[in-house]
Amino acid sequence: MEKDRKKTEAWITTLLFFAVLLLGAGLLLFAPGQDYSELERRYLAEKPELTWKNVKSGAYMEDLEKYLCDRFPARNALIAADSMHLQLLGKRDIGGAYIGKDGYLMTKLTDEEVSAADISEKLEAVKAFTEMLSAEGVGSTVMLVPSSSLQLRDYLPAGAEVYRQDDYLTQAAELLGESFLDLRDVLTEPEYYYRTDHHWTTDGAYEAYEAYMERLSLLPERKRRYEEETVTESFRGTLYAKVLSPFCAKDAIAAYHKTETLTVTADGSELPGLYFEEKLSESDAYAYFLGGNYGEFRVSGGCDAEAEGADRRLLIVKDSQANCFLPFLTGSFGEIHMLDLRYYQGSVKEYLLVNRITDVLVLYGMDGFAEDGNVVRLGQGLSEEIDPGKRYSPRHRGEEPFAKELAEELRQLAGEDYALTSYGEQTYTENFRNLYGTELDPDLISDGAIAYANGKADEISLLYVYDADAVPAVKRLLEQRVERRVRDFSGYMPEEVPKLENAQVVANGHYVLLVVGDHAEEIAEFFLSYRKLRSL
Amino acid sequence: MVFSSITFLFLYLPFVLILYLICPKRLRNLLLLLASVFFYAWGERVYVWILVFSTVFDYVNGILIGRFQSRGRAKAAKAVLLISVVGNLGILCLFKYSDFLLSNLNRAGLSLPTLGLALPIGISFYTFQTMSYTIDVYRGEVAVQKNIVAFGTYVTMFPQLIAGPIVRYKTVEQELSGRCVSITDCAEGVQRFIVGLGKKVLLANAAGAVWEEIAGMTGRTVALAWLGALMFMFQIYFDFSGYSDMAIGLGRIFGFHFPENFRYPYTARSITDFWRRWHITLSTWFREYVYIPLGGNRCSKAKQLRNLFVVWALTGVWHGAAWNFLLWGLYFFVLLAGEKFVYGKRLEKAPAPIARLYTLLLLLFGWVLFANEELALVGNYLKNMFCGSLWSGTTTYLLLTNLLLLVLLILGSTELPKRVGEALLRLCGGAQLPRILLRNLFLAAVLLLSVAALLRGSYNPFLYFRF
Repeated sequence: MEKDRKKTEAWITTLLFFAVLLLGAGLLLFAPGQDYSELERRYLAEKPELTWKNVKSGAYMEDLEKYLCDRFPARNALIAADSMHLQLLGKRDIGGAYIGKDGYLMTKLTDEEVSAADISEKLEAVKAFTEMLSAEGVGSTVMLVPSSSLQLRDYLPAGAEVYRQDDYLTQAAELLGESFLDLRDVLTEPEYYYRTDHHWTTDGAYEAYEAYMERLSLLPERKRRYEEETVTESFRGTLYAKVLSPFCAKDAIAAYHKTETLTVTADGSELPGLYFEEKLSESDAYAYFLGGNYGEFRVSGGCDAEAEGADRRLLIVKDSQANCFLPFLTGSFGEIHMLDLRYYQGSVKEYLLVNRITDVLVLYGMDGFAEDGNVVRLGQGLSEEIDPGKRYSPRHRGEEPFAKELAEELRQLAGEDYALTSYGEQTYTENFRNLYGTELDPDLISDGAIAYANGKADEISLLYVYDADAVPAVKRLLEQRVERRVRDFSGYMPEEVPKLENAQVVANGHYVLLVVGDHAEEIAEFFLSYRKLRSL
Repeated sequence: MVFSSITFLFLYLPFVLILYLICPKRLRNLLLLLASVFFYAWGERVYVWILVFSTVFDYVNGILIGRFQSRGRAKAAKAVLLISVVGNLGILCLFKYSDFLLSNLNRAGLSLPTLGLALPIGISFYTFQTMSYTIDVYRGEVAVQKNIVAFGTYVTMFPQLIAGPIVRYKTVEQELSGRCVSITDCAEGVQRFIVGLGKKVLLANAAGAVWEEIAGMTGRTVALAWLGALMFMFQIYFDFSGYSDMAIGLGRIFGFHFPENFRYPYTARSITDFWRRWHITLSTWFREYVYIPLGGNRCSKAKQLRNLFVVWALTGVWHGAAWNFLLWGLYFFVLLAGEKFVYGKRLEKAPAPIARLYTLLLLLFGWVLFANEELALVGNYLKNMFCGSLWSGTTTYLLLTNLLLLVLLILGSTELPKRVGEALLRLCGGAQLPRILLRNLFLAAVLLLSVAALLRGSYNPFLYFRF
């Protein structure tokens, strides 16, 4: 009896084990997978290519493991279980975020990760930038938003180590003097910070707005004049995405609306408004404000023509902290521009002169300021002579034409046998006329590259249009080119015509692409998802 | 390939298990052999041929020894044995120790080019296994294995190929030619495997992450230095014993009974006792093939000391080609000689807590030596343990957030969990359902939490991979 009992139990354990393994294997191999994890805010690993080279170097094995981990069934639930188990074990930092009191998560950034030399360099760049601004007669303010790990330091787990944010902010205040608006005395309450996100809350942004308006000697709009709306109560932001524990709190996002008609453009395309309700149901609900981060952002129309700030044009050099701050300003300035240096690769000085900016605000979260390498660009190119009347483009700035690089990438993606010729140099205008006809002013196209295959219709044509308004016209131009090519090939190589009829003409930011070939759609898709182009 | 990976757990293992089940009995060794070579090649594409060569080499040597012995040609047989031992040790020395020797010669003034050869995975394990075969054939303790597939299976079997236990041929001789897997064996294997996986992924990795953090600090308080050393001590135990558990468990599923490699080493009452509980198959190997042939302890005291010295120097360098490993081995030589000839009797009479404290402290210092290949770092770390500031904010943080983990690690090194588990099962009495639920829910929880930790993919090293 005992023996039989043991046998039954043995069967159960063995079968359960086999079942788990087989179920896991089956789902791994046959269940459809995702490309992007909303929860973790990242692209999931792709299936590695089985090539001799990959196998030999061992890259295939490593990538396969990453791929299997990323598409494991019930991955989100299992990771939540892992986080729970770590928290129950007493861990107070998971994935780079501290788990503090009252459900407050805080970014874990230590002195080892933040270099004092780096901070000094960035602060010097900002200082040089503000000095240039005052030389140009433009007012400047610098706001570095202290993070919750400083302002709510009592909520940190006992003994938790964070970088010397207080010292760095004092350093900034001393260096930048008048321009620096110290928010350490402004953001003193927990409700100015989210529990699960590294941004300040809208209420925190409002406090900073009042302080900023005071600094500019402008009248701030009182909170009661807004229509307050709690747009969601189940927000779980960037810090939650690091911890992923079901024990984490949920935040409420508040928005303060006013009735106004605004013209909003981002990277050349028009946006319906400042608020994006559809983002509330996604993981990154903070994108409710402005829909995300763009290289170039402009808003106007909220300020009455007779109001105090109607002739003032504000430029905010920012990171995502400014997104919930901006809506408060729309009534105080004729135009508000925002540049995010992660996506805008051009010269800030040029931008502000061309757009006749009257006030500049540098607004960064202190953690972001410490980690973002792009901030130093504020201190570059300051002594350049800029003529606001002239059009500037990569070619005119003497920079390396980017079109050639991108075309090279696209060409490799196509894997075809192309010959690449770039038109970023003197021969450009001549060849442009030959290839594209003379209908369009070649000066509007300031950079370009073409890759073509001899004897076939395959082609990758990439053009940089300086003036974003001219993009539709350039697209038409390329479509006409395709029509001409169809006529050419119908005569002597009709088998190429289907390829031409499937030609893709698409635009991304200032770039317009024509691609003809067997992989045309793939290349066009890749090109459209290439974020960097939005601000070049 | 590593056991603690999704590739192994959910692609390789189910596939191989299914094939093994449907495979006719006479082809099972071949299947295991091919699957194991694949397993090895997955992680070691360049040197898989050394594994194959080693196998064929000692297969042929075994046959030759057997043939010469049966024809009374003792000297020829001995010559072949010598060739086998020299060949195996030669390969091992070439790939493992040549650069160590060369760089030390260079330090002494010569300027020889180093070879820069990578260490083939598991070479220290499988060369010792094949040597045990030829030596045992010569000694007449096992029959010559004429079937190269069976022999190849013995050498390459994936459960024990990469990190042991070091299985002597005589242990599995019978099972190679015929094994039947009872369902209870299988279930025990499954349980062993899952527990080993949990030890590795949930305990060893967690301890290791804390050790790495403390080791990476430029300065550390006294308290943190001790905490770090403790964490390393636990990491290496749970990592290695966990891997042995997985190996033994997998072996069981296929019908093999490997010897135990660990018996709660941190409950030892002396260093001598410790080495009867830690990496048992290695000490057994050295005892059988080095210590006893040298005379063991059946000779003069001076010779006994010499024998001990040789064995422990070799044990030290077996773990790695660096001075700290040699010193680590000699450290134990000194302690073991002391226990054997000087204070062993007094130690036995000491109360258990004192004996255990003595053992654990000495082990702790030994592990600090083992953990740092640069001797300067060892010195620095030991200094940290005794001088410097006692406490800091980070010390509070790391201690508080790892307190429960530390308790689990300590309890997990003892027999307590096993006893508690058995007591709980007994409590269920005759009722089958509670017993089934208890056991299987526990196993399922360990398996799923381990998989979850693997999915997060942060820290999953394997320490014994350089052997």
